[in-house]
Amino acid sequence: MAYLFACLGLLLVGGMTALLLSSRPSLAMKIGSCSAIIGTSALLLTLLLLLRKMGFAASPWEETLLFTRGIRFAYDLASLLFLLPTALLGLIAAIHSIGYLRDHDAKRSGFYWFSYNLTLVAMLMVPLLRSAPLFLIMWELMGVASFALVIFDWGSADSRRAGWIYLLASHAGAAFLILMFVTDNRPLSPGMCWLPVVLGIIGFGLKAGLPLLHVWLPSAHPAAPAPVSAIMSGAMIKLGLYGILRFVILPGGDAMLQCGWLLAILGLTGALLGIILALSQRNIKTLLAYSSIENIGIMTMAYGLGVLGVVYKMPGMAMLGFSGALLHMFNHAALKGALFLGAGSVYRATGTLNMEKLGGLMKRMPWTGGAFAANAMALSGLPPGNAFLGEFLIYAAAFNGVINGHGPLRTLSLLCIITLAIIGGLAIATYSKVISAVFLGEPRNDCARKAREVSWTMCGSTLALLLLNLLLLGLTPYIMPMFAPLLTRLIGGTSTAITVTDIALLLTMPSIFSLLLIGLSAAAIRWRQWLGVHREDAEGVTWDCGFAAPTARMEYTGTAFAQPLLDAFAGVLGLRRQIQRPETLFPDAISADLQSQDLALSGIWRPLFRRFSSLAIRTHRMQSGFLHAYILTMVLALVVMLVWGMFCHRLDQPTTAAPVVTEEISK
Amino acid sequence: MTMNTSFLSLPNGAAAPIADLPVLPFEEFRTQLIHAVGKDGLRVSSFFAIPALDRPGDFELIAVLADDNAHLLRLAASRIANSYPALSADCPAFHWFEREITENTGLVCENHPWPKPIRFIRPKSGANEVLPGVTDYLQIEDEAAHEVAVGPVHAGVIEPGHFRFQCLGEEVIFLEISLGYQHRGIEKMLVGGPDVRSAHFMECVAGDSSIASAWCYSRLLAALSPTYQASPAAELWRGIALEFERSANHTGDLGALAGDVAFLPTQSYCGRLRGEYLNMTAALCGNRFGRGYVLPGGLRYLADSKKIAELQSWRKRTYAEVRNALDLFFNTPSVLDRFEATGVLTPADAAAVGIVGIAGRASGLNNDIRVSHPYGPYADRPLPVCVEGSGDALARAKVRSRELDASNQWLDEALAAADALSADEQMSALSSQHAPAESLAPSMIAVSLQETWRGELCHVALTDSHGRFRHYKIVDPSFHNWYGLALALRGEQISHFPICNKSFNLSYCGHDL
Amino acid sequence: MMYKVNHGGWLVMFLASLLLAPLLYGIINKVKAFFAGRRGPRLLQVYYDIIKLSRKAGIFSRTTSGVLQLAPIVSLVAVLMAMLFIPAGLFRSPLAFAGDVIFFCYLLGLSRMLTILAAMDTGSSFAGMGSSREAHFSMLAEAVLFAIIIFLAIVARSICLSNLLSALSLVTPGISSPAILLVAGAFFVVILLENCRLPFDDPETHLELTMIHEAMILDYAGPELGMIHYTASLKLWSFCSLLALLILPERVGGTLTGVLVYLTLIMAFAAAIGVVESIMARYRFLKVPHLVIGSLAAVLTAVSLLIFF
Repeated sequence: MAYLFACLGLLLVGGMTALLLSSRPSLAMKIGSCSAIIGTSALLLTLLLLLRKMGFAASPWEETLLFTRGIRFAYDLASLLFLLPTALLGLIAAIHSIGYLRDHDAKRSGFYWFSYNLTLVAMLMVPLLRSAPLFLIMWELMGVASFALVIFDWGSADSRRAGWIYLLASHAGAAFLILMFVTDNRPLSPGMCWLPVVLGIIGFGLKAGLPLLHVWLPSAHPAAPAPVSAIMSGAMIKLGLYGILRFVILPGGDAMLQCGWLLAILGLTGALLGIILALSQRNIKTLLAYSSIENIGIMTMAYGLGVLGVVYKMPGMAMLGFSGALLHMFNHAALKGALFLGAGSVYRATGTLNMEKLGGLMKRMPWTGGAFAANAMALSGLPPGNAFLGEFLIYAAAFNGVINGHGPLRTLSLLCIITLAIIGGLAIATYSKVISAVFLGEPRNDCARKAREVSWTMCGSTLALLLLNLLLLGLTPYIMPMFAPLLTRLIGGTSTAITVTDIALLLTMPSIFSLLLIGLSAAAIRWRQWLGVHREDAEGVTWDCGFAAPTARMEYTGTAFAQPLLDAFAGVLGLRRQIQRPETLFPDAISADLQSQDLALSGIWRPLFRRFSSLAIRTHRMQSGFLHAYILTMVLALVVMLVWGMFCHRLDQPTTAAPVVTEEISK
Repeated sequence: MTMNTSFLSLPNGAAAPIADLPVLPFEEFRTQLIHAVGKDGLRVSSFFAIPALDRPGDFELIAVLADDNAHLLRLAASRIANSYPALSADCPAFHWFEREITENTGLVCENHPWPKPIRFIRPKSGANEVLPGVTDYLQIEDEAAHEVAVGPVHAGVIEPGHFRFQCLGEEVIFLEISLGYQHRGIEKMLVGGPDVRSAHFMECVAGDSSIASAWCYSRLLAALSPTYQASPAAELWRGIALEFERSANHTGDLGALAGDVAFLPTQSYCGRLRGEYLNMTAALCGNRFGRGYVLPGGLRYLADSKKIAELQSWRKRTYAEVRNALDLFFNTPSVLDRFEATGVLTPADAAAVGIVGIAGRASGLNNDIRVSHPYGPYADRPLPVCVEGSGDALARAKVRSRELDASNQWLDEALAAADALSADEQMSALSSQHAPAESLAPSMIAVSLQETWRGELCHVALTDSHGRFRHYKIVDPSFHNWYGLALALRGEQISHFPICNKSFNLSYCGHDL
Repeated sequence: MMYKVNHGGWLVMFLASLLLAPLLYGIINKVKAFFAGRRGPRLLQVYYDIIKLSRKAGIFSRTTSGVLQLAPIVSLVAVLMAMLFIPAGLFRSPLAFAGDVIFFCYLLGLSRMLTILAAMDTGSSFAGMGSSREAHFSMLAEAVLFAIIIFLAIVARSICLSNLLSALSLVTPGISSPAILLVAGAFFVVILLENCRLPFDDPETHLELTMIHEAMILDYAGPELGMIHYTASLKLWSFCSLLALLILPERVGGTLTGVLVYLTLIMAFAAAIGVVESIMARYRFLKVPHLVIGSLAAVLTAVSLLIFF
């Protein structure tokens, strides 16, 4: 399809031009934004057309776009589904960027649009590439291009640090993926068949933000400009899930049992940890980033249920699990994208992302606030939000496991349900916290007091996503059947008792009732307004116990709101209560603060890196400055490797030819 | 011993010429007071400043310390002008008194640990309007912390006062209590007395301690003039009325405590039974709070033996029911769990800031004026001092419960003794002093202490050369104890505040005067 | 096992629920008054209150930004919608669908989140306190509720409310009755927690600092307050009726006796709440999780009894 490549080309050329015109920021801005908007919208259109074509079971599973010299471009339903969020958020975030950059970072817009478009191109290529080396190169390019965006605000040390961690994680992920491709192409002893699966899950999990592998995510998302965070959280981390789907689940294999368990347990842990950590955050974007970890966890858990459904021959559970994961992927992309854009608007209006300093923005920024609140409520998984539909399917998958499963599977499904319920409660708390601390009550600080509504590009982009979410809510039952070819392939291609149509049907009632809920509420609100006109509703002050001089200090802060829950999870959060009460009978210095930490970072990664860096410092001694010493080291290394290679070769079965992939990589 | 030379010693309810009051150089005065309170364990019953007569701008500081072991009151004085180094810097028990001194006189207490007004008295000039409760509260700078402001209007039918909590979520880091909404200027209006209104003022200092307050005043007058001397029979009846008052309040408080933890049975029963005790008081004098019963010189009404018999059986009946409701209260684990270790005021803190009464006894302080400075009927019929050590809300509830028992036992004997009085003795209790006309002894200082149901009440009066009140100082038990409540809340859960508050149950108007 | 299909009967019972729901508060208050030796408010007092409030005009704080106005309305609609899936009076709900129990729970979640947001909209510290507690405890209640649903789903092999509740009863043979007792007990705890009753919350207290639900609605007046009272009573009715359906055998359904037993049982649960409130003190907040986690453990025990025996 020339269209697809034309769109990608337009993005690339637009980005390059913008970079070349860096000295003339306003022109670079125009060219960059236009190319991004036109490119992504054309792409979106193409994708939708292709999706309509591929959605029919009769059409071929895969279509090759280009196949030369071992490089293969192809697309199938899985590619298309994962391309969609990128194209969509690429478009809307580009519109938001126009307002976001104006008056602030306009001078560097050439660089911004270059990196932006390059990131998009890399992200769009990744699902299309079928040959391992090129896939890896694009995967790396995606990491590097987005790294440039993460450190866009390179003046701040936090940004540089976040970018550094991000780059490390990105490279580490790529390294695991190389290993995965290597092992995948080698015949392994049956006892080792789990190895590529584990390597793949780690490699892609580093991008997706699975628990313990997530540490780059909460620092990179807040550091990047909001439109970039929207793309990263809405689309890029989903590509990690795409990788797992494409390279771990779709090929199947003997290790699917272990794979299913691993995914389910990782997902479960990630979801729970993610939401607990999200609850403890003060920075809006960090909170949203942790919430992304939670949602990736939910999707991974659904993957796990799907895989286990296949393994245990429970097609209903498999179908529900996979379709729930895919649906939640979509909903989360649209919702989280909108929330990050909304956070960006708040940042531009107030200059801070610290929710303890905000408050009362709903009255000052009604459009942004309304859209943010509605999207956040939807992302809590509550009806009438679209995220409910995805979670509904995942619940159904887990209930299927509880009802029809046996032994450990039953216990796992049971755990999944209870975890989902707890996550539901915590998500309500988390999003209540962010909505109320940022938008409700009285402003706690001058920066919030003086805030005004942001420009229409920024407002409009969040509202557009809200509209999209509403559309998704109503249309999901009709879109679902299009997933059929992918789902059939995922559950093994066999005809099963439960079909995609059944699942679409399952969603019909919640969808209809959700729409009904919106309609009825609107009617009731209208009626109440009418009543208010006749009754002359009055205004007053919030009950302050008749005190003469109430202040905004008297409203609950976000941390105060979350404190009982944070205390309950103090162990998970490594919660530090920094409370100083007066030591004498009379008042002296008092302070009170609650600080949580990411134990994965402070407990595992940081000590590990510290160990590594001290090791690296010790190897400084080898840097003697004498050329012969270096040559000697190299010769010694060569000898060691030769001996090792010969030794290994003798143990290996000498039957297989050297795998293609390893060859290509070693070139 | 220095105490004998530096202090004027008086028994409870006695007077002495002002000339006998040793006026110490300030340094010595300060050292002596800090030593007596900090080392010898005396309690500050009253501490105030009055303008000196001979030199305008000078003030006389007068301290009244209670020596519980010697059953005596120690008085000392000193002269200062403009400012002086605060005693509270070294001895926290003076802290609230010195804040009051600064507010009332404008004297500066240097290095005072927390110089702030306690009543927000409106200055006469009226240049800057002072709003009660509007002040710089101690704040936590951390962005996560927040404040909770409760009052002056409360959801229950209680008096106004403002509580400012510095919190982090559920935990109270610091509580500041800001009162003064009930300030009426009673002390000022008493100057120039006694007159017809004085006794009524006394009964309104704290409406729930009308009898104790009126009695305290009557004993003070008796010390200043033989006209107001009351007969032993009158004193006995005053004691009976005071114990009724105590029983009513303790019963009501325990019921309200039960209500705060939503323990319905004790709440409803005690609420009704408090009314029974009030009605007994009403049967005695026509007013449920005993207003108008105690007069300088005696009583307004007498009770015949039929009434005494009625009161006896009524009391027995009521007490049995109260005991029942309280046993239920103290035997229900879910109730005990709420009170145990809630709102702890450590004995050390209680002693340091000079907590009195129920709250003091609950924190292990052995003070009860009825025992340590016995007067009237309590001298003949001593009561046990009910002390608990844990200082939590449960201890304060237990002290009340045990005092109810003790009161009941004492009333049993006292009513029997009253029944045994001869007709003449009965008649001697009547007072004719509706309108005090007589002047008091001139240039005297008199002190009178009472154990109200809440704790120690201290009245100090100075008369001028014409025998009128030159200064009248009232220290209500609440004056000592409010700061104890603030201390008990540090680090406590904010949801426990109502229980803590109710377990102290302090008076707003008694403090604000 | 299935409830009888009788759409007319279900509709009558649904409408009756809407009408009778506030009566439960009257019953609770009467029982409490009886224990306290008082006469108590009239049985229909809640009706009078709701009617009186609905005739008034509203008052809204200047701090608020619209959430305060919207929340009670949407909350009421959500709870009404949730009630559509209850097999009222042991008649199968005509709107029942697979998974409606999840929808039911999440609709209640919606109502809860709106109440929390509306409270935070006032900027009052009391509202913040109530919301913070509500968010904490409801998260725990949710876990217990879903554990109970798991138990029922295993028995009924369905996740439709109308099937779940008809699957077993106190007199069902085969399933160990201790398991059902444990589940019913835990459900009663959930009723108390979700409806802000003792020992978790004290609906009668005037002390703002100890409130949960009442603190969240401090700034409401007029029709909105009436709506909130009515929504609360609908919620209580829903939970009590679920418990009644849980322990009633499905075979009594479809008869007049069945309907009467069902209604009586709901009233009896209200009375039981009254008794609980009369004989025990309220928990301190720090201890609330213990009780809830205890009941979660009870349900999980019941589930394992079901799986392994």
